[in-house]
Amino acid sequence: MTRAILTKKKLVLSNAHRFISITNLSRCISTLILAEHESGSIKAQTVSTVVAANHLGESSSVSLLLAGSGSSLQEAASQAASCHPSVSEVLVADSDRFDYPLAEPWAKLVDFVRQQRDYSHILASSSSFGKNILPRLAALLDVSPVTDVVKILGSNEFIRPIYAGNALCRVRYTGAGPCVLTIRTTSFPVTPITESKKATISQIDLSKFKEDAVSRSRYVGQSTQDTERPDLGSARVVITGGRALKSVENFKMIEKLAEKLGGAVGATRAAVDAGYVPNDLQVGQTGKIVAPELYMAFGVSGAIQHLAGIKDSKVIVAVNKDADAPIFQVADYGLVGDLFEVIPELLEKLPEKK
Amino acid sequence: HQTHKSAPLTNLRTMKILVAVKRVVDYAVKIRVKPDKTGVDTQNVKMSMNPFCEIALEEALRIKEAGFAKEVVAVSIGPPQCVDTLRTGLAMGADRGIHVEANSSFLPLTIAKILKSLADVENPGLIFLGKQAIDDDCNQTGQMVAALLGWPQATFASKVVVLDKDKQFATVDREVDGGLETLSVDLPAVITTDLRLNQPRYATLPNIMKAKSKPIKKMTLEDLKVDIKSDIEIVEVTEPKKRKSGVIVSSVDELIDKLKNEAHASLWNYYRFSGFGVDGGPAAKKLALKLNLANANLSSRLWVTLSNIEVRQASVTIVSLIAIGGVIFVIRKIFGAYLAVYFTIVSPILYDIYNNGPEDRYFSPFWIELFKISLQLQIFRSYKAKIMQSMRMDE
Repeated sequence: MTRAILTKKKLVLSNAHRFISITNLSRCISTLILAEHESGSIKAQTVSTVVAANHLGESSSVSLLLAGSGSSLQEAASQAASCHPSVSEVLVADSDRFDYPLAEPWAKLVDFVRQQRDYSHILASSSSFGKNILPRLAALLDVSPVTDVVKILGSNEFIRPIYAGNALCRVRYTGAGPCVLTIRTTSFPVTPITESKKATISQIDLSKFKEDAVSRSRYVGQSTQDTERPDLGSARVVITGGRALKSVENFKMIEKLAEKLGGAVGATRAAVDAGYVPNDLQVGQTGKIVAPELYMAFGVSGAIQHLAGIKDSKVIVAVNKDADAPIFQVADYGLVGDLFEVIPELLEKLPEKK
Repeated sequence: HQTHKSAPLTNLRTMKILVAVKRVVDYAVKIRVKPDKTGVDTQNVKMSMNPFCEIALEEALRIKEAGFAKEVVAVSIGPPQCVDTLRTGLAMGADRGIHVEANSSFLPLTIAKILKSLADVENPGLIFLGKQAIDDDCNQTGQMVAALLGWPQATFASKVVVLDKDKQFATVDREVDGGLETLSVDLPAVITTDLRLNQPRYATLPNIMKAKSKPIKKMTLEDLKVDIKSDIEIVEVTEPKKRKSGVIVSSVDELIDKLKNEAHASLWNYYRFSGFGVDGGPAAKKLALKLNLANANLSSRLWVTLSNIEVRQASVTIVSLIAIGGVIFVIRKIFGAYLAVYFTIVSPILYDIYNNGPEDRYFSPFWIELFKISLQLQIFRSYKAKIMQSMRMDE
């Protein structure tokens, strides 16, 4: 009888082994998201990345990784824990090494975290932060990342724009390592959430974390514009000026119009190059990608590279003196006229929006 | 900042700069997706050096001309035509070129591995790349090369890179989402260039002639002992959805009109139906504003203070009024008139009638919509009457 029991046990064990290998085939999705935070709260781009992670597949667990130091980090962590119901865990790396988003320590940190827990996907938003760090991480892991993903078709199939968005490329990741992605957040809008769930917050033990002592980069400073106007990347209304504005003073008209409509100010590369506005207002293939409800372009000719940044806007309005400007081919409403006359007229006739 | 021992790289004056340049479809070309969806048509299409790579090469040349480097080496990876791109680079002022032969296009990781192997051989103090290629828009290679070499990286560099002669580091301004960030990176380092770093020079005719005699070394992947990494497959390449063609308006008034009624309607509908969240969402907020304004106006006109109407109760009341009114209207004509009463009171609030006069453009759409709704209801009622009649006749 003991023999019968023993053989039965053997059978059970061997069947269990088969069961485990079957579940291994249907890769369990667990995602690590490199989060961005500022002044004690998670940035909107990170929440969009969480939304994107949900498209990867069923039963996906999403962990957010926050790094930095001090009370603003802990505040951001606690806000991150309830920013979206699909976040199951918030990992916090508290060290002044991570005070500034330098790619070298951050890429090493993500690798360090990944070595302790096995993730199938590592995501970040396609912001200057994500674009700087994630490819470096991917090379450390010897995997090819997929950057600027606009659509997720499955756990390893994605669509990304190429040729300034004039073509869409559907790619499949066939590697064995974790799938590293940067997400174009305008393609994954955040819907208002009803249920609130608080994720667990755990502090990462950094005692074994080693950094390169030899060649390093150091943060020196930054110049950022502190405005009350909405952030260009997530604004619902964007008013853009081109080179036809001719001066910094004239750009104030654009700012007034943006203020009236409660929108953000954008600019073309030509306007930034000419010095009318700072570089972080540039909209286009190599600047910011925007997808507002209303996009109004004044004195913008509509070069391919600029259109790449505005194609997903709901309504595009263009005002230009030149009736043949390419912008009129994508605009929903076009007005051929002198912007120096049109803008004051608009300022006068538009009602206040709130 | 701490002193350190730097890598084998020594004197800045003997420093080599490696610049990677890519041959891509010219930025002004309007590309076409192949009908079989395997890619973009690049036959008989003008090809040029990637604009960001031009900027990278220009910066390397300026550093050399300022006396901080001895030699600028241009590298290109791809088919035989890459030699043309290298010749352009040599004409701009690079000292020599390296062409790594490749028949198919490689993923950025393979390119990064090739550049790493070259760096192990050439020992440059700086590697310059364009931040992204305008064909695949990947923005990965520079970061990957830095990781493979274990070097610091300064990506999206704008503003002139300043090198310190005594200590071996560079100060770089980077374009980031919030503005500009300044980093100082130890050499050797990898820098990727952004648009505003510099204005690349044109190759002058004497330089083009000189370039013909500058050496271009040919290498293969076997020479560099690099394995091709192919963990990403291209499934298909398609065109994005085209936008519906728009209209040209003739005046600012027409534009505002269209925005309010057509575009704004879609914006407004978004508000109405975009969800309610916890506090009622944007729809409730708009309603609250209008309610309060209507309240204020009516109070002042009727000399009676109407009590504060709570938004949540108002929304619930309005929705249930519509529902009840609809049902009653269908069942009983007389009570259905009650629906018209609802419209008379509530719709004006929604359409801001109490706050605007007849000269305002909102005024007429409201009445038009009211008329339309009542017309539709009349038609519906008459159909219902007919159906009832026919049912009675069947009995």
